[in-house]
Amino acid sequence: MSKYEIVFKNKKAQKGWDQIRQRDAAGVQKCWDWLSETPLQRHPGGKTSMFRSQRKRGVIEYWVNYHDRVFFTVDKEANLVVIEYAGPHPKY
Amino acid sequence: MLSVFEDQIVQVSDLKKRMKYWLDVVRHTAPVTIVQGGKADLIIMRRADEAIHAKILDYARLVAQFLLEQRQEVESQAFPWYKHLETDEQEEFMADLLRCFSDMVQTGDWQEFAYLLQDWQATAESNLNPELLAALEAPHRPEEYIPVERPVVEI
Repeated sequence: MSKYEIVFKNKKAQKGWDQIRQRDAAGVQKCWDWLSETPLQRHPGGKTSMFRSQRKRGVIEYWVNYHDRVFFTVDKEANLVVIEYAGPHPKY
Repeated sequence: MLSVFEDQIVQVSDLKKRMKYWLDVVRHTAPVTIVQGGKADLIIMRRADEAIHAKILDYARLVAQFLLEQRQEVESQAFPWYKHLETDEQEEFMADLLRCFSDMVQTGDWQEFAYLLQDWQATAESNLNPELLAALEAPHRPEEYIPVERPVVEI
């Protein structure tokens, strides 16, 4: 049984997740496994980054692959992971 | 981690006599500086500590470059993503950077400093994605939450 329940914040987040899943199903599965068990831990492979500024504190980024990212927040008391956004990483 | 400035000093003659003792000192406590002919220009230290010093030196160079760039008011080459932070985030980054750098120099824990740079880079890059920013600002409505099932990978 998973330690955390995972939900999409809304349909837009779900759409982004589904688009990534079509490109990289295995990567999305690994992401789901990480989020359901250890969402607040540092990924040993460097796949997670924790936003630092006051305005974005609590947001965590998960690298699905070179192009795609999943952004989520965690409600520890409710054991709930909320996927806020999923989509390609902007280039600069 | 002990600094090289917290080392112990040994005459080379004493080192020869009690080699095992001094190597144990290095392994379990601090680096040892060897004095020979009035010169104290050699040190014995753990390889792992040397690697830590090298890493800290790399980061120190980066921070020094960044501070110089800030003083000269030129675009940062040390942290090319810095320009993407909002003004208030740049101030927070500076405070966080200096605090974490000071901690690293005191404790030798460079991993936390590496996390800091990784995290702030991700924070900065998020500002390049208006869709993401809008998504983060959207209010949470639990009634709109949709459960996420574990994806099945077809082999």
